[in-house]
Amino acid sequence: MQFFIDTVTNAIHAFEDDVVVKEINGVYSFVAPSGDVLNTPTTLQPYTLPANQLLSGVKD
Amino acid sequence: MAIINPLTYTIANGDPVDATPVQANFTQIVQDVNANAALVGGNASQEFLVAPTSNPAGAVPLAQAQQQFAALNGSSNQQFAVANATATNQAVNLGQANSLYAPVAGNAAQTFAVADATASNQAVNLGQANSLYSPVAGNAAQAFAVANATASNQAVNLGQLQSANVNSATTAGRLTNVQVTAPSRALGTIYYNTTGYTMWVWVVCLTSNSAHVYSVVNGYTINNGFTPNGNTVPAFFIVPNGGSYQVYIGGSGSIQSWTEWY
Repeated sequence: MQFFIDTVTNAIHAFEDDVVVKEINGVYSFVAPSGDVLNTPTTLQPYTLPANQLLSGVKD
Repeated sequence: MAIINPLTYTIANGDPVDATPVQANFTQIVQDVNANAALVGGNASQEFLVAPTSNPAGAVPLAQAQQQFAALNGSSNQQFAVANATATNQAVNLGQANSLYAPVAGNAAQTFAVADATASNQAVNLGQANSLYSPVAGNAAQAFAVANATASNQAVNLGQLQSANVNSATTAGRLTNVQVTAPSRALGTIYYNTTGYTMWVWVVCLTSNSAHVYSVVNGYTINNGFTPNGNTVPAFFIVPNGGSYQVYIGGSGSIQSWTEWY
């Protein structure tokens, strides 16, 4: 999983590993395996998820 | 016709010669030549006579020429005969033309034969047309082949249509009951459906103190409810392909299960 954070809302966005991330002048875009470009905020920046961010109760 | 008439004076051997008869004979010769020989030399009237002749080198009188050759110059009956032409630069008679070319001009029977065309600029006969093109016009069997269409103005064959329908239905949501058990999901995190299919998501949360469970799809928020005394609250929603989705709790709580079908 690839994580990004919206620098405006602080919301965390998670993308599957097969999503291609492209960066142009600090703006990130995300391309699904189908080739479709995902509709994402332009204010996303890479984010490292803290170890305790994965909440308990998640079904794997 | 004699050109010089008999001379007036005859002078024999031994006769004394006087200028008068000699001059008279010369004068007659000049007059006769001028009167008779000039006609043959091309006078204005050209009235000297020429007899009909069969000699190829002989002169032909006007009447003979008109009788034999005037037809070639376009007489009204045009009855002079023309043999069948055997070379491309020869005249063709009517019979030959009818036998060879009249059918091409479209006679009633139209029975002239046309071989199967082998080039794009050749005529197609009825049998060839029927065998090649009548199926396209919609015969009962409709067994003519249509390749897969690659442009919007092309015909679509049945296989391509069925495939497209299946793909369309699959894209809309095949729901093969594939349960997503990984990767992990967390409350408040925005995820994206990149499966290529419509996704159905069922999340069960454990809440406390009347916390509300919300689901957000493509930015649209749904209040999935709450329980007053702490219990499980389900959130069920559909995510279109490429859409974003999120579950969060207004209050305290956690995920009990998160299942996705696509």
